[in-house]
Amino acid sequence: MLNKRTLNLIGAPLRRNNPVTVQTLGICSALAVTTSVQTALTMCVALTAVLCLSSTIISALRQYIPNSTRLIIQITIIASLVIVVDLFLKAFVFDISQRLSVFVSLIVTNCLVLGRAEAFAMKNPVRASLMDAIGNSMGYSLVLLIVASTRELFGTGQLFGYTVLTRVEDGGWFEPLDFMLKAPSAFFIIGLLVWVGHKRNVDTPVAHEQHHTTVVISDHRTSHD
Amino acid sequence: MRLRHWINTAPVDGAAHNLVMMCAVAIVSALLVSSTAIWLQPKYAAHLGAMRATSMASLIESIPALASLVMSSSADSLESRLIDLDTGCFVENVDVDAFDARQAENDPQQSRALTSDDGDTATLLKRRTYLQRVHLLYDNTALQMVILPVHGPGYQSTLHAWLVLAGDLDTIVALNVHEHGETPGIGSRVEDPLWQKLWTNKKLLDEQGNLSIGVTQNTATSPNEVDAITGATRTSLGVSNMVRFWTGPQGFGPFLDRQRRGDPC
Repeated sequence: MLNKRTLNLIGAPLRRNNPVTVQTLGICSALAVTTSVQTALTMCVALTAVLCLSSTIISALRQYIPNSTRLIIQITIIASLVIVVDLFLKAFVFDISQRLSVFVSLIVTNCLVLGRAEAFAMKNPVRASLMDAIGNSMGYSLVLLIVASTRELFGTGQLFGYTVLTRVEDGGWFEPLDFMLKAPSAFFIIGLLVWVGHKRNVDTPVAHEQHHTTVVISDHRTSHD
Repeated sequence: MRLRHWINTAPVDGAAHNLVMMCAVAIVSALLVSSTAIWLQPKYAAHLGAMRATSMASLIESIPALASLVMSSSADSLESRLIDLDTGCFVENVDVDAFDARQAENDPQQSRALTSDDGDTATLLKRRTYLQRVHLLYDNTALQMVILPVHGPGYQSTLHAWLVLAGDLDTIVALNVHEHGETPGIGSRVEDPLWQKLWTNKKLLDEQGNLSIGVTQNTATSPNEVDAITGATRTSLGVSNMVRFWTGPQGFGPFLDRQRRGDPC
C-alpha cells in the first residue's frame, strides 16, 4: 500500500521540499497564528482539512475542469471548504476560533492550498494528490509548530498553557521575552528555518529534481487598518 | 447516459463546457456552504449568547461603581426595557426577553431602511429597528445608570459594544466593545481596557448642549474628545461614529432627551 512513490510524496515536503521554508508558500499565516501552540495546532488542523479535501476534489475533477477557467473553479472549491471549516470551528471550538479570527478565512488566500492544487492536483491522480496534500500539510504544520513552540516557550515560559519555565514574577528565574510575542520574531525564526532548508538543499544535489513542482505565488495579507 | 457521453466528448475548453462546469461547481459549493451554515447555526448562536452574557457580567464587574451599585441595591433595580427609538417612549406590550435586536434589524416588519435624509450619521447603518433594548439601573427610584447596546461598522467588521451613561445621561461611565472582527493586533485594540478607559468621564454634549463626543487624531483636550488608536484610525472612527449615531437623533437621542427633560410619555 505504501510504496516508494507514495512515501516520497508524503516525505518530500517534510524533508527537502518544505512548503513554507523551501517553496515559501503560506508564510502569512505562519507569522500570524504562532504566538501559542494551541492556536497554531488548530490552524494546522484547519489547513490540513482544507488542503486534503481540495486536492482530492480538484484532482477528481481535473479532466473536467476547463483550462481557461481553472483558477476560478479551484478558488470556488477552496473558498467553500474554508467557509465550512470555519463554521465547524465556530460551532465546536468557539474560544479558539475567536482567537484565530480572520486567519482561518484567510486560508482561501493561503497560496499553499492554491499552489498545490495548481501545481500538483491538476496533473495527478486522486491518490497521489491526497498523499501530496498530506505531505504538504505536515510540512506546513511542522514549521508552524516549531515557530509556535519557540515563541510560546520563550515569550511566556509556557507550552500548551502549562508552565515550563517558571517566570521571575512567580518566583522563578525566567524573564519572558516580550519580543517573541510580536510579529517580527516570527520573521526571524522563519528566516532561520528558510536558511536551514536552503542550505540542506544545496548540500544534497537530489533536491534539484524536486524543484519542478515548486510554484511561488506572492503571498499577501488582505487587511491593513 | 447522454449526459455522460456529452461530458466525455464535449471539448473541455469550449464555452458550453465552461459554463456547465462553473454552474455545477457554484451550485454544489453553495449547497454545501448553506446547509452546513444552517446545520451549525444553533450551536454558534448558543456560544454567542453565552459570550454576550459573560461580557455583560464582566462589564458590571469592570465598573466598580456599577458593581457596588448592584450590590448595595435590591436585585430588581437592574431592569431591561424596550423603547421606541423614534418617540423615545417605553414600550410595554412587547416581551423584552423575546426581543432579538439582530433578527429584528433584518425584518422589514420591525425595522426600516435609513437614508441620507435621516441626518449626517444616519447612513452608518443600512437599517435600524423601531425598538431597542436598554438596561436601567435605579438607586431607590433615582436613575443611576443607563446601559445602551450599540453597534456599527468598524474597519472590516461590525463592532458591538455597551455604552454606559451616568444618571445625567451626558457623562460616559464606560464603553465596552465586546464583539468585533477587526485586524488582530491593530484594530483589535478596541478591546484593550486601557483604550476603553479613555472614554470614562467624557461628555456626550458640549457646553451649548450639542452632541459632540468623538475620537480625535490629535491629542484629546476637551471633555468631548477621545484619542484614536494609533494605526487603527478607521476602526477608531468606526467606534466614534457608532457612539455618535446611537446617541444622536436616529439612535437613542429622543429617549435620552426625554429622560433629561424628565418628560414621561
